[in-house]
Amino acid sequence: MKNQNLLLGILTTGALALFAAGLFLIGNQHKAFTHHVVFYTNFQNVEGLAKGAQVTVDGMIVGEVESIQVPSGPGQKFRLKMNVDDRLHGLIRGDSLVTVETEGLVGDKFLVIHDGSEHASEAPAGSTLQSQEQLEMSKLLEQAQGIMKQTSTAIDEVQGNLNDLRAHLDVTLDTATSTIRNVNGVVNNVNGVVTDVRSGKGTVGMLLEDKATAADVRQSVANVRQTTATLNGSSTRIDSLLAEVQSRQLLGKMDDTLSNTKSATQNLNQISQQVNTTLKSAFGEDQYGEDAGTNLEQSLTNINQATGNMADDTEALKHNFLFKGFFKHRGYDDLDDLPVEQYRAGEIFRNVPESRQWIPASSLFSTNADGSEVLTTQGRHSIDAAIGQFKEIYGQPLIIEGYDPSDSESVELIRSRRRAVLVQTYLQLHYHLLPKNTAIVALGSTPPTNAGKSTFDGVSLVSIGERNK
Amino acid sequence: MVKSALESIGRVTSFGTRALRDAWTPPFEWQYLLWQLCEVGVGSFLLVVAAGFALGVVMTLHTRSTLVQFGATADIPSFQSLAFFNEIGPLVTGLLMAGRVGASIGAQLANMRATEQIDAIETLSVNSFKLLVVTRVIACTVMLPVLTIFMDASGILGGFISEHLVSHLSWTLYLHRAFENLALANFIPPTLKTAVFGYLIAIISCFYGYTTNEGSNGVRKAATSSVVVSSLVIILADVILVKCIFFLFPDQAL
Repeated sequence: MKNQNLLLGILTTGALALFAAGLFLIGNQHKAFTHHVVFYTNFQNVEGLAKGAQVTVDGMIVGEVESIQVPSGPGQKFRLKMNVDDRLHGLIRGDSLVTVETEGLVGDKFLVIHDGSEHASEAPAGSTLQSQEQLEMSKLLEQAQGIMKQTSTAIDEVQGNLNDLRAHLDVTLDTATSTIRNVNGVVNNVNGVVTDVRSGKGTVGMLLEDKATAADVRQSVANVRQTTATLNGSSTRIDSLLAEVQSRQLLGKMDDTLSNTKSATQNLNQISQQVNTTLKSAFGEDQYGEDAGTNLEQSLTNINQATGNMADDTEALKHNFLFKGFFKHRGYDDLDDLPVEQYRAGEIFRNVPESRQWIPASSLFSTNADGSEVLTTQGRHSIDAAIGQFKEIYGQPLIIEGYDPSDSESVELIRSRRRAVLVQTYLQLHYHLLPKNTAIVALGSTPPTNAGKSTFDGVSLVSIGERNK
Repeated sequence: MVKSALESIGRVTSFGTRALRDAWTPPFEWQYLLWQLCEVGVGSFLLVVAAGFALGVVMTLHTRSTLVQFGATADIPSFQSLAFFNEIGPLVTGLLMAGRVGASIGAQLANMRATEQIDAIETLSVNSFKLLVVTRVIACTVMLPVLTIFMDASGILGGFISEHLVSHLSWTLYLHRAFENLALANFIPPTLKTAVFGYLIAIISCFYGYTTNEGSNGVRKAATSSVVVSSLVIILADVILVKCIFFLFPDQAL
């Protein structure tokens, strides 16, 4: 009995194992145990495709047709639901095409999802892919018949043209015959004129027969001879010139140059035509009827508005209590536009940091004949020396204070600003300092109270980064 | 004649209904059932596997000679698996079991009836129908699908060996192609329909053996009738069952 139980157990276990193996093998073939993505496609003609038909991508079986939804009326299409292996999802793009193919001549029908283009985005799961109907033999024959008809029409047209050409040739031959007749008449007339001249008739006849006229003519001939001699000399020089030109192959080069110029001109012509076409298409009207200029103008207006708004926003941000402390500690809000009075009231001006460098005007500028100041070589050296005192000048703000004690306040302001600008320009060009990191401020003649100077004539450099360190 | 035939059908139907009903009511003859399972399943195992293997080899040889004319020899594994899983496996297993088990059951029960062993069992207050008939019906019903799985597997194996000897096709590729076009509907319903075959074989064989009352002549008649009638009924039932499968799985009918 024990033996029977064992045998029965082996039999049952073996059968169950085989059953499970069968289930898994079939399931694997139908991708039942893989992650699927569902796609849809529509076909006017499913070509005998059945539910469960294979779906391939690049020749690899990736799934099957899960269902075929029958259209509810004429003119509508069959809707196919496809289960596709998730691993191949990346190959299926938004512009992928689905076609019905046949395996061999008598094989099963199956669906092929063709690769999409690289620039197209990945087709989302559940989306409907484009389909392409299979071309039927009857349609091919129809197309061939159409081509044959077109060919026949073309041959008829060519024959008609040949007939027209023959008629034109006949007319041309008639015209040529008539022209030859006219030429014969002209020749006869010329023959009569020559006979008359020989007999001394008319002006030419007089030239041939009259002696005085002959003497004049002789003198003229002598003049002509002299002129010819002169021309001969000239031609000799021209010959030598031409010989030289030829020896240097200048003509060939000129010819080549002309050819190149011609070719370049043609290319330029083509390019200009292309540019013209491109410009036309670029500046043409868009789908809303607006031309490029209008669009560009609109865009610039929008950009202006946006930047204006952004400036307002950032200005507002500066005064926000979260950021206010930062700007207050730094001592300035914006290097582009330092208000003089605000700067004087600020921490940088009042505390006179150690990193401040004073450079007197006498070592910086010289005055031109028109009264304007220019930076001298010595001045550049002085600036270099002052910059050398800073530990670091890149990546941190540098303020150039201009001072000029003059009679009037307005002159002070103009001259001190001019001095600051000259130094700023030198610094930006020579040290490649970024404009955003340099600022100028025209302070007239009054330096900070605790600087130990009542007035100052020159420029002061202040490195804010060093002050913060 | 017709009346007699219809009467026989009625009696068999009544016999089968009784077996179905008694299968769910105690007492359950577990020990005897186990013995019958072993007798039907283990006893028929080698026969089924050998027959399946031979059929697989022969079918591949025939299929190859035909498909080679169309250059479609790559489809041999597919045809082989579809044929075996759908029809050949279940039907041949049923017919084999009708021959081996049907004859065995018919002859054994008829002999027990002739030698009054069944009467003796009854006198011991044991329900002879539950002991002898119900256990055999359950054993056949359960074991037929199990044996069918072995028949299918050995058929595929035989087909592979035959194909491998000719074209040196690898086992992996053969298996891939064999299951490429196979759906679960080609595997599960045809396998399970053999449970019906097993039930029919057991009922018909038990009927002829259990109800005979003609001595040794009855044994001969029971054995013969069991095989002939159950084989015929299996084939007829197969027609109906295939149509039922197509009805339940319409894709398989395409």
